Amino acid sequence: MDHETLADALATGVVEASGESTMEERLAAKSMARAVVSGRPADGGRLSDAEASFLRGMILDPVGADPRPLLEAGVTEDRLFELVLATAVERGRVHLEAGLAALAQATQEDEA
Amino acid sequence: MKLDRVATGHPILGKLKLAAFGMVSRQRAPDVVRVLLYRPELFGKNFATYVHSLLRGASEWTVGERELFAAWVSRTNDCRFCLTSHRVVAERALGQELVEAVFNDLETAPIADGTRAVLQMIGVLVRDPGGFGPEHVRPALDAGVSRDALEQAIHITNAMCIVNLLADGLGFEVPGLAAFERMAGALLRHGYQVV
Repeated sequence: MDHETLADALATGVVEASGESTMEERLAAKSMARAVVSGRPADGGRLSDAEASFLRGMILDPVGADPRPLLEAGVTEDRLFELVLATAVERGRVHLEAGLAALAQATQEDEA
Repeated sequence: MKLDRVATGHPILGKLKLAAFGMVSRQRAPDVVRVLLYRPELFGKNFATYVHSLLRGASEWTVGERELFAAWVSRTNDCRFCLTSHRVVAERALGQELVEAVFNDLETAPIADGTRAVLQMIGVLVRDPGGFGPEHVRPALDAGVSRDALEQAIHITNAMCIVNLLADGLGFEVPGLAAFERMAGALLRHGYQVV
């Protein structure tokens, strides 16, 4: 399989695999990750304010991101793991899309 | 690791794999392996396949160059776990002196112009994906790097940005350099298909 197909499978898997969070909640985590990486304001959509705050913090200051308040409030580790994975994969995806778009444009310019 | 269940709550097959990893490497399985083996259908299986294909599959780049790219992304993201892990493998493949020269001064390091241009490109892409444009790709193309080879370097950037965030966000334990060096030979020979 080519790398694009493998990257797509990865992005699909973190959203569609069964778990404790819904697909809509993982999509909300992805949407927020994309906004934060792009420097745009982001709300958490279907996520709780505390979850959104943790995931936003994880992108901006991953070492300092502390899940303990969420866990103490009853969020399960599995649910948090799913949201963290969706966030991380989307964060990478922003870089992938930017890189491939620039490469496509550069090669098009060369061919023109 | 910040999530106890991901560190130690694996089902029996995962526990067996962690134990096997520990026996072969003579040390505790690192947290990245624990993440990959925890509910692998969610992430680990796809991610390990993707990374193994990028870093050990068919390529115009040598294994050492690809490990160097992975280390460079990790350095730009300031991720100590991934930087050390990939740097020691790159050093095994390319030689410690060369890798040190790259990390000390990319401009003067004795590497091919294409490799240097790709490392520079990766640095910009990691720091500012929103500002990344064709002008950042062109030096590598002008240095003779093919479209396919550049595409692969961009995918490596994607993969490493993902795992860098997981390493720091989930708080991977960073073992001593000796532990990374013990793993480097196996990683060089066998790659990353641990799931």
